[in-house]
Amino acid sequence: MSSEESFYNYKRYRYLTLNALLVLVLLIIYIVDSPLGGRNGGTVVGYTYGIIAALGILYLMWYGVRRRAYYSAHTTLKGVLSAHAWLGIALAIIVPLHSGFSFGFNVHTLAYVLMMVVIISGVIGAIFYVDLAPRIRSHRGGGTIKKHLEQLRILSQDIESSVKGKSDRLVDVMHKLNFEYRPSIGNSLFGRSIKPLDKKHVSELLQHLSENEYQDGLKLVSLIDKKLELAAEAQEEISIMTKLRIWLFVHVPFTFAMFAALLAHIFSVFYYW
Amino acid sequence: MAEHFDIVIIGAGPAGLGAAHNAAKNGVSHILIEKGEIGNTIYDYQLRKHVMAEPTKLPLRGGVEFDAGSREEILERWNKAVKEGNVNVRKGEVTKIQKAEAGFTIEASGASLTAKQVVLAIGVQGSPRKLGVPGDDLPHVAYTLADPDAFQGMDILVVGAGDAAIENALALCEKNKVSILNRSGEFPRAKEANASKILDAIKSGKVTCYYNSAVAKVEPEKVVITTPEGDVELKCNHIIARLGCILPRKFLESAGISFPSPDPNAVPVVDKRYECNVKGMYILGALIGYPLIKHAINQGFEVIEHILGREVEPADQVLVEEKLRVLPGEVNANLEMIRSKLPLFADLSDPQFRELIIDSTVHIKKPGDIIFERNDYTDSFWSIVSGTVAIDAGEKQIKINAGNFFGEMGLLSGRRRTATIRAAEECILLESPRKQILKLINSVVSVKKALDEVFMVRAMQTAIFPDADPAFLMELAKRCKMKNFKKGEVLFKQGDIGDVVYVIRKGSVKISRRNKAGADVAQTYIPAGNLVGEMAVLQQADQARSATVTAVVPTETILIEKQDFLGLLEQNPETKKRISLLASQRTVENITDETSEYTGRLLDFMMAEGVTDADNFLLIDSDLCIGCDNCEKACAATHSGYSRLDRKGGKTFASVQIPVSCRHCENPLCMLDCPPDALTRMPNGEVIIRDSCIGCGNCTRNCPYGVIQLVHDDEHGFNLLEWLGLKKKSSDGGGAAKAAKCDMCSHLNSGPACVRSCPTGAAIRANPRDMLRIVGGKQGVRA
Repeated sequence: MSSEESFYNYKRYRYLTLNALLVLVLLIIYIVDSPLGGRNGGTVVGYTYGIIAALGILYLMWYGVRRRAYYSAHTTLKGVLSAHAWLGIALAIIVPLHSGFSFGFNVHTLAYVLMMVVIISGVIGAIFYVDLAPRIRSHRGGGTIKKHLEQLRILSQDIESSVKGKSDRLVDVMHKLNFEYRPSIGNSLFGRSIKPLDKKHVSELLQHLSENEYQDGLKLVSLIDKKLELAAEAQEEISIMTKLRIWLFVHVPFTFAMFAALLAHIFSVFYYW
Repeated sequence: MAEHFDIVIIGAGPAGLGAAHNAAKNGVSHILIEKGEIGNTIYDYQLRKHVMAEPTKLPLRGGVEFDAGSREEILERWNKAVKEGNVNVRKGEVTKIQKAEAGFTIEASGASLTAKQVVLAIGVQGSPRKLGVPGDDLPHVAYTLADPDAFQGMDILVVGAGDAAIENALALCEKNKVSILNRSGEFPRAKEANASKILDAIKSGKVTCYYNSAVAKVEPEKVVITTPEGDVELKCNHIIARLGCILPRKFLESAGISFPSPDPNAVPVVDKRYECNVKGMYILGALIGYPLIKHAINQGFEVIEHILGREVEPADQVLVEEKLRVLPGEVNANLEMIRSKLPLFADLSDPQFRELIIDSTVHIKKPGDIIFERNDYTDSFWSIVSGTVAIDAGEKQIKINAGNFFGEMGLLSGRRRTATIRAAEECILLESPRKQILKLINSVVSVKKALDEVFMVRAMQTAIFPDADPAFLMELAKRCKMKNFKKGEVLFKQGDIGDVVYVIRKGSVKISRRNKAGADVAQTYIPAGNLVGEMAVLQQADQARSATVTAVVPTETILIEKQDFLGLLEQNPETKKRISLLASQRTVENITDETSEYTGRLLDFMMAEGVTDADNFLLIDSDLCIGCDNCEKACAATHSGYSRLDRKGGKTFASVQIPVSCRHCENPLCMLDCPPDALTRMPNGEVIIRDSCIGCGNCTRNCPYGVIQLVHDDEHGFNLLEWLGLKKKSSDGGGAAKAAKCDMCSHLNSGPACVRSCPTGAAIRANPRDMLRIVGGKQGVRA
């Protein structure tokens, strides 16, 4: 539909613009500033940026609350998500500016690394949202995964029964072409994609059949072809649905891990002051 | 020598019994003559039939007891009242009533009586109305049903939509295959309890209902009926026609009683003491248009009080007083005043008029006060008792004077108000509920006729000819025909020669045109209140229709002949200019913007899903939806734990998904049969269910889109155990189930929670015009 305004381009990229401006201003100040002892988290600019970043993180984490605040009256969730996404990406730049790009093998850098995991998983999630939504079959009049699996089960039975009482040659063709589809998340994400029947291979197999069996063979092939098509669709749908959710299993726990590391970072900074 | 009684009461139904009992109590010389049994109409009812006591609010007067109960209980009570009240009752049939010098002479079964006063309470059950189609005299066509147990395993058609028809259908449906044929689309004349019972039976498949249908022909073993979907032939061993009864007009006229009009449904006019034009003759009950038992018993009591010269207020006086309290002055004078000012209700009987007043509201409006605004969704009917109101129709104002009515367009077409109405000077207005007026349209022919004519004029005035002279339009309305189209029926085809234009009065139509490839593609839809077919009749020369027009839903139209239409245009140059411009614009559009097949198919999808009739519906852009169901979660969270939208259950076309969720239809079918009138349209269009819902489930059955559910109110405080999943969430909530559906989050100031909680902006609230605009721009997918 033409009104395709999603969260990323909300109000003509309002939050991209605002965050880009913020980053630009902070970058200019960072470049202009030349503190004694070099740029680091302990300078005025460093502390200021640290505070900005910490407040930003608190705002980003508040999204989890806002998402469930169904009575919320002042903003739409789309707008809030837009701000969340762009501010999150901005932090990937603001935080190194805060530290003066000093990294090490310590709790401070750990917090940054964890934050980057959160940000990258978030970006991946955002890309999935935008990219995968139009490909969800069940949202476009297609059957749901459950329906697909049910149909696959029926098709498998049909295939088995279509060779019942038929010659061994036909049963042999069935065994060579048929496949077992096991729906699994792992398979859908990392498994081999289901390929259509190799026409050359199929016609070779069918040549061995007698004239009477040939028609049965054709019927069998069409059933298996249909099954392959359904399985491929189910596999894709499962993969899409999984991708739309799986990134959150990284994004959310790492947020809390990052938050713990952040607290440790802040504590240690002030403790060893 | 003739026997003499002070009062002769004819008919021992509830009215006659009430009168005779009161006469006996007062020691007045009287006689009650009955040709059948005491309470003969009830006596003829099905055995053990339950009789209702409506209107429930009305108090009962006199010594004749009556309450809801079985036929047997009621007859027993009445017979007891006759015996214990020392009522002088005699069996006999009155054949003649004649006004004599000092009273009346009456002939009854050979005996001759004289009387000072006559109370006529014979009811109307004597002469049932016939079907009036070929074959209606065949032996298997009956007009009563005494013992339903006599029928088993038969195909039975019950004709009618009143209480008698419903009760017969319900009594027969357990052991027979029963169909009921309803001339209209609802059961407005039936008592509420009956209406909901028959709807239940229809829903559960026990009874098949043919709405908006009529009997065409009766043959042995079968019957042909006309339905909106076409003629249907039904197998049928028995037909019971319960079409009401005809007044014994000849007999009444022979007694000197005059009628207000030749209309067969007109009833004799009586004054408030029930005295008719013949001095000393009083008429009660169904004869004066009041068929309910309670009213009849009260009238019987009252009439004797009147004859004895005692002042007695009608039983419903308190209710009338309550309604007319806003007016200064005496209640009865005000009632008379209102009645004399409103010719539309001239044919109503006194009790009918009193009931109208009791159900209505009297308003006093100051000059400039807005009565309702254009696009409001209110559906009440307004009569002007005094003063003038002004209709804002474009730049011009149309004034309506006292004695007229307005708001009838909302009433008939079920659409938004077409104009804003304000008080032009101080005025007294009577606002009557839609249901009450529908009841009158169905029972008083003159009301229906007057409304139909004025509707045509106003439809033409507001939709097309705001400048036209009302007198001319009235003249035209008399020549115009009404034509109804069934769902899917074609008004005219592309290429036909145009000879008429249509004003769509109710329903909506689809415009489709053949594209270059020859496929018929939907272009747009036109809702009620608009004109179609004008393009091909603008010139004197014959012109072909540029598009095909099809009814999307059952549609009522007004036909205007080409010559009449052109005549109207000649008289109204402004309108002519406007319509010609519009037509030429459409011609240009037809050439330049060929609607793609995609858009056409989408339109067809929208029409099938009923969103073209929607005021505001939820749509989901599948290009954005990630299936997180936050919309449902938000809905449940803001509506006591129960989501009123089902995202997955909705239908989809390309990237447009329409979830199962209230469309807030312009013509809401859910509102048709709501006994407590709990379903209401808010002024801004939302259809909501008020707390007065009794959970009868009529609306869940009537909604074609399945968006209303009966749910238990789950609103109980937060429970930690439930939240932790350690305790099952109690689902019955303790309360009764009530109807629930989308209320557009009218309790939140911020708007619908579903839309506000969609993280990707896939959920959109739209109306059909928005949707056309949105999808129209989707070039990438266009064919």
